[in-house]
Amino acid sequence: MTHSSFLQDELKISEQIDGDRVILTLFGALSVTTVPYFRQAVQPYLERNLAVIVLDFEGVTKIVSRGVGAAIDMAVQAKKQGGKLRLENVGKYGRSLYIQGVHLVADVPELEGFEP
Amino acid sequence: MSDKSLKLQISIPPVEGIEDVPVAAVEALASKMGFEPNRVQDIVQALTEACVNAILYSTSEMDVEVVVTAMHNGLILEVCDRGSGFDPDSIKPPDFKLISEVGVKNGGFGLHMIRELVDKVEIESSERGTVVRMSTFLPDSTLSNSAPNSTLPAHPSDSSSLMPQP
Repeated sequence: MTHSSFLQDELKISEQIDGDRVILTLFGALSVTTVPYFRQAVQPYLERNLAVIVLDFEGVTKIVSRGVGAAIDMAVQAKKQGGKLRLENVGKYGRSLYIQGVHLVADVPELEGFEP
Repeated sequence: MSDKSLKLQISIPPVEGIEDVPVAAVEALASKMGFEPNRVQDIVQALTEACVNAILYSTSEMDVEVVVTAMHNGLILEVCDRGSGFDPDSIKPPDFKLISEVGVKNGGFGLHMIRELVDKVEIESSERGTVVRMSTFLPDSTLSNSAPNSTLPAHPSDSSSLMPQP
């Protein structure tokens, strides 16, 4: 696999802190390229033992299973520390998240008709 | 105009991010064929996963081939790479109980996701490369509005011709 500067996926994350809760809004692709940044960017919030970390998927343009796996890891870590991870505005990515079992460890909007 | 199947072939270099190109083409095609938006997204997601895997595990600069066969009752996507291959049977379904306790750590469940998103998955893999064939069928209601002359064959293409040649 090689890289190309003009094809590179990008991910930007904005934060909004409200007491012991933070909303992290994702803009761009949650792809193989951006997952390391995704993990690195969220880790400091996990270490702050916040009650709720919200990942807002409103601006997500692409998602791959590795990205979903990263969200699962974050949810597990948050849970172990007594907090929780919540995913909002998952839209069309809902089924992919459920298929990988994100709903087992994080708060995810209910998905009608999902049969595991 | 006829009801003959339509075949598209897109060659992509193993470069991160290029999978968006065949995925966009297939998204447009699936929508035009009458798949519901949810099914279009399933197809898009499955193709994205297959392409990313093919690109990620490519061991040479040789192109990944995406072969799309559109038929009146379904869509077949084949992603062919020249990687070193793998044993599909060695990929076990995820253990969700364990994952809930310890997480995923590395990688994802691309193959599991593909299997859940499309109606049928066939994988042929050898040291010459891998072909992942994903079939998705239109529901019967759509079929009744289409020409019912042909049905989706179990093996729509000659897989041996699709396998990467040495």
